[in-house]
Amino acid sequence: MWWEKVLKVDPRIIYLVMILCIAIPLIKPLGLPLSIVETTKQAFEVVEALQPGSKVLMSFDYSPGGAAELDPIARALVMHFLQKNLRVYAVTSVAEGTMYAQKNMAIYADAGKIYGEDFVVLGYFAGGENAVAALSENLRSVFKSDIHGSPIDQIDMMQEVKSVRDMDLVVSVNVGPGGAATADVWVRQVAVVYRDVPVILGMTAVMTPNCMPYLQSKQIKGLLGGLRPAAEYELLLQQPGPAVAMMDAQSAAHLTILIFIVLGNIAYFATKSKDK
Amino acid sequence: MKNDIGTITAAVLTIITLSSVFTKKNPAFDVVQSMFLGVAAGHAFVVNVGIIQNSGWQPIVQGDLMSLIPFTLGVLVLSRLFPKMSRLSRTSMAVIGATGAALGLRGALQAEIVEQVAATLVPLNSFNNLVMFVGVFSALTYFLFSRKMTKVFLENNVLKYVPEVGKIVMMVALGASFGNAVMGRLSLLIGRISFLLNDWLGL
Repeated sequence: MWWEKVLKVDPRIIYLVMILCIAIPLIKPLGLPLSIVETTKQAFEVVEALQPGSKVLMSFDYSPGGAAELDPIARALVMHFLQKNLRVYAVTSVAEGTMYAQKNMAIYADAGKIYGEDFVVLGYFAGGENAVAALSENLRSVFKSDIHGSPIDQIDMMQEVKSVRDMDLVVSVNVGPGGAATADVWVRQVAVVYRDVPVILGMTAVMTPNCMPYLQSKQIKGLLGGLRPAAEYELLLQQPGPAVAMMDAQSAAHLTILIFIVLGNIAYFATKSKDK
Repeated sequence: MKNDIGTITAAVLTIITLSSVFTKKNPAFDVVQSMFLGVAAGHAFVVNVGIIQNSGWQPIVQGDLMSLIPFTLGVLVLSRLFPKMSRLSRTSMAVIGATGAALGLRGALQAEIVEQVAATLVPLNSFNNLVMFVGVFSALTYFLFSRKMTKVFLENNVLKYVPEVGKIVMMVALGASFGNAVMGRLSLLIGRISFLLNDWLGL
């Protein structure tokens, strides 16, 4: 009788329990341990190996739909770039990506870095794969000015760069098929064409299994897929931030789902054997 | 608690969106859904007009006549809006399609075939390499559709299990994808609840 009730439980109760299981750790963090996986260490080491002043082309290829997963990745990377004193060229292939580029580059501005010398926001480029190929060969063929309308030839840090060849690292934090230039595009048009320039991809968890072969075949040098690697990256930086705070909620939610799956299966088999 | 209009608006819209799972018919959710589409379309329109102005129109005005070619091709795409003139867009579409295909092919062969095959040719001197070899080989045999080869595999008492192993390997891969999809969707929910609790209410 009890198991039959479990099988017929109102889905709204499950939603409510799930929301509570997420909300409680966000209000009062549980401090669950978090191990750091090899792929995250690999990406961290690539950035760590760069010399101060190195140039990074960073593409914020995501919109609000993927921001919950991707913004913590972008933030952790930008924090590391700041720590290493790297120069960042921010671009985006998604129309809404400009606001995330500006938001994350504000970390640089707040740290006293100078716009145009230490970082620049070139903004949105339309055209997907064709545009990625074009900007890789010649940044000026795609960008005539930055987001403030200043001609790029008048920006100090643009004097030293013509193409991706002049960069020391290329990063795309990528929402996937919803975005104009997918992670595959960055591999096809940058990673295999400009082999001397390491590429790191940040992506949603759902894209990770599809893109893992690019890392295993060493076409890309780092892969950060989803919220967990963002949290691990914050721990490697020794600067726990929003991703670490959210991981407790993530673990609690996973545990709740597992409990529901086990309960559902027990109820199913218990009622099935009773029917027989 | 943050009282600025932007945060309050975002919080109210988030609550209305989440409320849709607790009610069957929710007109407020319909309004928010339409607002989302409207705002996204409006934002994309404004951003793209800016792109046309900065990358298309301004260079022409400043005397860069070469920019006339892509600009004209771009204008011709709009002829699709007028059925009688729509064939003018074919040239533009052909240029876009052909360059896209050529560029895609350039990297795709290298990134998705040559490099992947090379990365699979590994010495069988570790457990990981062995698993990868068995996984790739058995999964490939599942897709042997030629009658002759299928016969070789299905009529042999040992080989007939190879495609079955491949099927299990693919199920494991799809399971990993699904697990990651669940994790990703939860992250989105966590992101919104975190916004409500931490950014809005300041808890």
